[in-house]
Amino acid sequence: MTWKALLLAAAALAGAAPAQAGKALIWARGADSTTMDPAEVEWGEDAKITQNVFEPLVSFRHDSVELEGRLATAWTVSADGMSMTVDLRDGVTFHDGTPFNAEAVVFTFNRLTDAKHPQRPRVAPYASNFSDLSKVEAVGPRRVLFTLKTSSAVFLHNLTLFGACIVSPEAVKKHGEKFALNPSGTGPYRLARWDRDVRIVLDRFDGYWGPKPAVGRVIVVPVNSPQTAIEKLKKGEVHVVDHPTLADAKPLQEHAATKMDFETSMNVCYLGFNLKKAPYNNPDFRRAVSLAIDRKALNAVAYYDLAEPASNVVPPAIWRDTAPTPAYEYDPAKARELLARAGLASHKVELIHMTFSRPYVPEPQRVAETIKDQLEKIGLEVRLTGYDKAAYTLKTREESHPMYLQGWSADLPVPDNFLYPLLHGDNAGDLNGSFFNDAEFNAAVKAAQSERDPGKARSLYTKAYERYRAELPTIPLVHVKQLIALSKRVDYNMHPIEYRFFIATLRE
Amino acid sequence: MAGLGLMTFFALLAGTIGWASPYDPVRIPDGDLAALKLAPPSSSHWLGTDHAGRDLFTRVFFAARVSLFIGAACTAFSLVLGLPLGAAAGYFGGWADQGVSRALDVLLSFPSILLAIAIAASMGAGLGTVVLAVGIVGVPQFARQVRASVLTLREQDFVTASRALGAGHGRILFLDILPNALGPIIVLATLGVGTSILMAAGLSFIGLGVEAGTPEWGLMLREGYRDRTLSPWPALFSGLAISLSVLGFNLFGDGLRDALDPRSTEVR
Amino acid sequence: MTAYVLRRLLLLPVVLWAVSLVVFVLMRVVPGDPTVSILGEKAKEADRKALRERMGLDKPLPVQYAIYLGKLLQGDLGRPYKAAGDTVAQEIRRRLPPTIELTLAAMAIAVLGGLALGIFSAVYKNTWVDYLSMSVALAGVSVPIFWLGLLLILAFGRFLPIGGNLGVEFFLEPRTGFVILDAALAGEGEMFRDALLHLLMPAVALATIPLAMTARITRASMLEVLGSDYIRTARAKGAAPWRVITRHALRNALIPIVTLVGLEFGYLLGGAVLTETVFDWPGMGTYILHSVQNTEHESIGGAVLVLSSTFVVVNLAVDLLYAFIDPRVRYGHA
Repeated sequence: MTWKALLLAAAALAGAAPAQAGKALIWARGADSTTMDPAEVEWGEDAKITQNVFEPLVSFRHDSVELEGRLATAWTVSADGMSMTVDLRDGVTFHDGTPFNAEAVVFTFNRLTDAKHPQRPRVAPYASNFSDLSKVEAVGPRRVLFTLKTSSAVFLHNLTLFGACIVSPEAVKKHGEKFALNPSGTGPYRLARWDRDVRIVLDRFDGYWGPKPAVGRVIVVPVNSPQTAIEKLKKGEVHVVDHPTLADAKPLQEHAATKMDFETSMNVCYLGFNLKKAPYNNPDFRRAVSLAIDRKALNAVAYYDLAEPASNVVPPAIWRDTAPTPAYEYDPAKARELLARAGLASHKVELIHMTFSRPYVPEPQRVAETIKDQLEKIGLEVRLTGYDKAAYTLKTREESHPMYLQGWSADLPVPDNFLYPLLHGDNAGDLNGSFFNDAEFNAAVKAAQSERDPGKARSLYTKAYERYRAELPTIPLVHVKQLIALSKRVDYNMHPIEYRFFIATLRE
Repeated sequence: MAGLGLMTFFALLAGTIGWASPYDPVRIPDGDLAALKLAPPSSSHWLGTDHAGRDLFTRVFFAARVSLFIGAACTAFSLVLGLPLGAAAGYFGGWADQGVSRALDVLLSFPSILLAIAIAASMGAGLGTVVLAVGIVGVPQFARQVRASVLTLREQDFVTASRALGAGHGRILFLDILPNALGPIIVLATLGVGTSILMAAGLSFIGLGVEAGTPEWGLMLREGYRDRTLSPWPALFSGLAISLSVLGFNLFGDGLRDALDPRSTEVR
Repeated sequence: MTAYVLRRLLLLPVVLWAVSLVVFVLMRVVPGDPTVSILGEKAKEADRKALRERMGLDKPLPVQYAIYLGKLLQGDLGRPYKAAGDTVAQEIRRRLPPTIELTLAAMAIAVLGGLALGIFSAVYKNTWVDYLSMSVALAGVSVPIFWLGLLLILAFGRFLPIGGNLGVEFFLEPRTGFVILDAALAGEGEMFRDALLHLLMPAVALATIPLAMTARITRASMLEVLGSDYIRTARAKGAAPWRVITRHALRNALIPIVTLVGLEFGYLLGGAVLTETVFDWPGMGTYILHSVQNTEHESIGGAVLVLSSTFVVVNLAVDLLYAFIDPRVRYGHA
């Protein structure tokens, strides 16, 4: 063995340059999947795979967040908004060869929402999005009736979620809990192989009902550090890096073999105040902080100028034609005055922040350090404490925390996806770490949830926004562009919400 | 005595940088940050600027204060805990020794950086956390050294004599044994400062170190590492500062050891 | 002697039990709630509470420890909370070989390089060779591993592969889990070469500190031996100079070196955490870091337990070996 190895070593070291990747598209990302059962999906890395292996009834167009039918061909909502009839696509089969039909849809939703279902997934993080679903029935081989508990304006959007992707009932029954390792959907790609922590191989599904993907095989590899992944991209070892750092955007645009694609922001980073604690419960204090923040400097120091200053917690691409939100004022002199008047000049305050990257805070330490700097410029004394992933979420839910840094990425492109979880009184002490509980705000957001008239919904959101802006429970800082690094051999247009391997092409 | 030279160099610059430099080590400058940040070395910024447009030269030497303080504080912490433990184990022997030694075995059996990470993760990043985490990790080394010294000293004639004269345990331990065990402890402490600086920098590097924005070498190295494709200078210079200062302590510790115990052949 | 060995061996289970206790405390001291990483930030406290109950996380800590210990005694390290269909044992099975591979490679570099530097220093004592070697050795213990890693990447990143232990284009069916060995067994020359190249930079970075330590102790130990009577005798009898050094001196200088190498093994396991982070090495270090960040209690526990047990056992072996070689050494004598 040793001699053979040594000979091999000698021969190999004298050999040629590393082999170029073949015809497969090699896609690098931050971490491996943990499950391939769409019902169990909670985080982005898992969703990346299931979005290509499974399909929902309704999804987004390739170039926007407009909805279009995927496994559904048509849908009608009853006049009272309490039920919805969906017509299903014909001639669709699952990867395991079984046909897609109304039964499969009923099975999928029952499995997701019924806590006593025999094939219930280990966990169902997105099941709560369907808590207003009363029942699902097959009213024909290709027709399904959804009955709701309340009229809902967001139910159709909820159908785009990972959890609502349709699974093959036969495969679920056959594999049980191991379905998470043996996924079977209707998507353009099927799972060919999963070497844990090493790679996931997806092959084109030849029985796919729609346009077949241009790339026959996608190999998804976890490369934890973005810097490492980018080195591999430059060398041609991988074709796509979906987690480049903001610092690398410019060098990659200038590099001969690579390019960048940017997509409009669907996220927000904000500064929150614990309204249950002094001095953060003092409106003058919050106003002063708001006046002290220079978003331009923040963008330069912490975001490499790849963010846009935020004037609303909801990103502009989602707020769209709802009332305009004027920029926040930056006036340190006025901020000092306010502090002095409130008797808080040179007060000691604390800001807690996360130490791990998120799409909306790729460099949390830098955001924290910049805010500290700006607040100290108006005379406050700021202490920073950073917490790692596991601790931070809990920290912001305790009643004792001070100012905090937080953010949110849309999983649905609707204002409610930001306003309700982040600011509604129902979620005080959960995602609403400010404990903001404003009756008018709550009422407006709640009413908008079941308001199906777009005009009326807009005026409700305007009202909610006014309360938010007046009370300053949180101060929006920036919306961060989404970016992806690509080899020049790859054509791929980033989607605002999803990762769609099946629209990529790879040139030789 | 190159070690002493290096240490004096850092101490002098750290002490004088405040009035010698026209730049502030912490405040983010006003003006066009996009143009100011990550500038290469030039006549106005000798080592270039960092990610927030601050002068790197000022920061690197200002950081010497913070990093050297951390090194010293961590070592003091280890010493305060390790000394009595080791002394008790060495002096009393028997079960006290067994208990302490096995406990130290357990503590030593965890990769040290891992123990520090666990402590830092539970308390949140910050200066106090770093000192505690790195300090605890250093305890076993000191305890072992003290134990070994006490073990050999307690059988020496002058101790036996003292005991025969009716001296109590406290008196023997503190007046007879420990003063004679100080040499190796001082050497270990000197080397310990270097080790602590390295470990604290490691914690900062994975984001669990001192408060964000603090001029501290490990944190500066972390920030520089993230900007390495745009400008390698911040990472290069802060890493160099760590290496040179630790080298200083190691050289000095070596020199001390040679001076205190010419026969010694032990390596750290 | 026998009594000493026996006592240390009898104490081993006690130490391992204590390790398990500390591991458990460590698992629970690492803050956070696994239900957050399982259910996501959006989940309500009520849902998380229900899940905690289902997972048995609401039970009193002593009860949880008893359950944990019970499972450990049956050889069950538990399951990760998030990864479907996996066990901690399987995860460690995947992650341990790369770390061992890295550690052994670093050890080889450290011992060979350290011996060479140390011997040259001792033989050419107080010449420029000595000063240079010892400066290199001293610099070696002073450089932060992650900075050295960065320097290596900046200097050699263009020519050598960075990240992981094998190029992504290679499909390797794991047999032993040791990539280099598996590639050799599969007879894949290209793959074998690629795996070796991947190993080069991380191994060098990890080897620096132990290399420096080995060099220093080799020099000291050699000097002591070279000054002794029997070497003078050997020289007087006209033995060739290098033969004296390799045959007579080195052999006798080896005892402290062997001890040090044993201790370095533990250092290397710890140093792997930072090295693996810098080089994205798929080993135990990155595994533990990832588990800490995601509140994977059982993964943290399993990984730390495996590493520390290895360390304890290696340490014991070194201690016993040392006591065996040098009977004057009696640890914990009454």
